[in-house]
Amino acid sequence: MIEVRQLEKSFGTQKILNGVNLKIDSGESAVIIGRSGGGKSVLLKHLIGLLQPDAGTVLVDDENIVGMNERQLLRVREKFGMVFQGAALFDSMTVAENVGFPLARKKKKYTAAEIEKRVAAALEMVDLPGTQRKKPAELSGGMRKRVGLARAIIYEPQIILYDEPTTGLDPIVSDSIDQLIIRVRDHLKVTSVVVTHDMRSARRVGNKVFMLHNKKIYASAPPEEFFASTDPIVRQFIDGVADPKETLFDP
Amino acid sequence: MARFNVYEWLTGLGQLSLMARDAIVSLLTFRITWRDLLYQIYFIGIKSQSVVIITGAFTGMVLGAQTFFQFHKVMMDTATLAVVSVSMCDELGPVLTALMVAGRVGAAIAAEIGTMRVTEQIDALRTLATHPVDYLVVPRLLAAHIAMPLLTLEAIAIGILSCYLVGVHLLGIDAAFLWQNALKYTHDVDVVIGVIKALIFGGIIAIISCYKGMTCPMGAEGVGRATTEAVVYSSITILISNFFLTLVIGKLVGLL
Repeated sequence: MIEVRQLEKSFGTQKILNGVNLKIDSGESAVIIGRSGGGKSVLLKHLIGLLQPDAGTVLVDDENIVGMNERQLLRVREKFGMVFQGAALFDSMTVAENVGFPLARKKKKYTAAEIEKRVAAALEMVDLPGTQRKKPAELSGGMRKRVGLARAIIYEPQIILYDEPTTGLDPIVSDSIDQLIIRVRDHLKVTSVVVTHDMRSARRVGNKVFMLHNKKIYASAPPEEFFASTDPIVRQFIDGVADPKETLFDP
Repeated sequence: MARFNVYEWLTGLGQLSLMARDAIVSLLTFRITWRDLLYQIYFIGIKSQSVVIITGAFTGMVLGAQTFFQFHKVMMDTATLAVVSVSMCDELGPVLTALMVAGRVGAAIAAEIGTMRVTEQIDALRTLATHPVDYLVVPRLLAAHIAMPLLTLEAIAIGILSCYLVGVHLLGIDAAFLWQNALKYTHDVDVVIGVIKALIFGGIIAIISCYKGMTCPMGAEGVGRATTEAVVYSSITILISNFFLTLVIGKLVGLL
């Protein structure tokens, strides 16, 4: 379970998050939506301790991770897997080395043969069998995200965080990534937290939607309820209508 | 503005010290990946061969020639190699090797780690429950500590050898007296001073370059800046610390 209470974060003089509260239960699939540059990714990075807040608490299984040092956080992070916006694959390594990296770091537990087997299984799960020897530079954007996902699931974490998993991909690849997120959620019974501004994706993968607006969680509801909302701000975001005052050019 | 710069500078120094402490703790608790360490030794040591050989050889030769030109006036030709040998061991060997390695290896380390930071690979490491200092800094630091003394010894030996060859074959100095004088005035302690300095310079290059990479500002420009700063700060730190090391080690040797 992840719980965030009164989270505040500024970069320089710019306040990004101001009093964010949210609670994600175990096994739940939460989607955080909001405008670009609105602090969604910043919020996500707080959940795994990549960023430390200015104020507030982040509880992971009732343990406050705020103020922990890097070594203490390593233990907490074993519960997490994270898929980055740009996949963040290690470009000096092959796909197999990337995916097997978390296991290879725990040498005492796994033999080379075991790692190889689990890498193959993880790549199978993300529909990329046989790509072990390729380098990340040889892969397309969608394939990289899949490899990133394979790397995140190989050590069977309890919680998987997705940072804009479908951004920059065409609708068909996006759809396959959505299906993959659903498959991982159902097969591995993990808690998922997906940050996105892709409404279609939000509707499909989430069973709870949080909307980040004006540095706070503005709305949270199950997808059916959320997408039927009549609140003007929520509606504007769902329908993708720009505020006339904010458009750069006159229509 | 000045106050901001001082504040920034002091913060940087503090962060660098914390990273160095983390690295030392990690070293002492043996959180080392041997494969990475070997690769870094190869990268810092073997790949720097050409640079170090050329530096050592030409420094030895030019220093030998210049010393000879001056000493010849007072008929002290055979002391040439002794001067070159002592200065190569004490100062030029370690300092020039360190400066060349800072340029080649320091830049590469800062660029590699900086790019990893910009492309979120360092964040990815952290999410995979791997401490970036354990994985990135420690192998480089240890490899620099191992490679630098060896490279320095190599530069010293090549410098002395090339000076000998130039002295005997080009400048016509008597080979036996030249060699004998060199042995007479160069002591074991000179070589030890060179090695100690090389060890310290290796640490300086690795820590500063890793730090610059890990704190690299975002974007391509950030990586460029981090790379330049890694080389500049390493070089300046080497030159300044060399002076103090000479004083301190000189005092210590005097006491022994």
